[in-house]
Amino acid sequence: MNNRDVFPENPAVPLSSNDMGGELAQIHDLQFSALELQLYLDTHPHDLGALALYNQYHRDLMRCLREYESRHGPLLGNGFSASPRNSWGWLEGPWPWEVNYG
Amino acid sequence: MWIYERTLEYPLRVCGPDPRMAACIITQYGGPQGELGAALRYLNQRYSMPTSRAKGILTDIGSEELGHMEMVATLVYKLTEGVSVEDMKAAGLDAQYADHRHALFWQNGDGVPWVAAYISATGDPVADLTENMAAEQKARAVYENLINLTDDSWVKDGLRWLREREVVHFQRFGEALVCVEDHLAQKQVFPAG
Repeated sequence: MNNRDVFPENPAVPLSSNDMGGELAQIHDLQFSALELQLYLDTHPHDLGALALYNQYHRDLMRCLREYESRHGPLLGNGFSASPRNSWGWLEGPWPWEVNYG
Repeated sequence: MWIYERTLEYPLRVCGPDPRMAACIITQYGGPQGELGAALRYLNQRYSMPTSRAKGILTDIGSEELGHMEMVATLVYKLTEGVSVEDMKAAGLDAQYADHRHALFWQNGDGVPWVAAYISATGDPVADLTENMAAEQKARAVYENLINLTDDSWVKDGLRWLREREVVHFQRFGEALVCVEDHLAQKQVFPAG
């Protein structure tokens, strides 16, 4: 196949963090970095540098998650996120497949 | 136990409706190299793995595949959102509409339903991890085929991201395989004499 189909030099629509909606983009980035390190650490459990980086991403992610939730409502189920006091926040806002990232 | 997070692993959008492309992408939902099969294959193999590293990588990649399943579903949902019966017919999806209207179904691009035979579980950790490496390469190839089938730059972006994950998973399964082979070699007993 033509590699340019997979890796275009000039994508028609440029992506930026702004397109993903600010704070949620930061959560996506941190979560992705932490997951990538989690998979890496599964097969390199003695890499202390990766371990330190994982813990750093964990701390940053927890901070961003709480800040986001205090403004936009719960992201996690099973008691890991609080609901606003006056309404069941889990049902508010579009579901993941309905979000328009624009 | 799994915890649901109310966001996609990676944000997705589409330039506009494209029911024909949705009918192709559905194969990564319920086709032989699709994300449902991947998630179930890996999570199911955990119970016959000899090392904690192998159990860990299967748990974590299997869980990530559940998130990819949701991403593929989202692409199909967005590409068919609000599409009229006339447009479904024009795209050759009248039979699809007859059975499912706009619902998603576990099937490949030809409409063949998902079957458990897509999943390998031999109980032999070397055979199963090697199977997983092949599965990741096959899924990568299907994502490349899908990328070639569309001009929608946003759809391409999402498919490219999913393709990249197959490459990373292949790498991690390869490392897990080496670890398991080392483990099995150490356990091997060679009788004297």
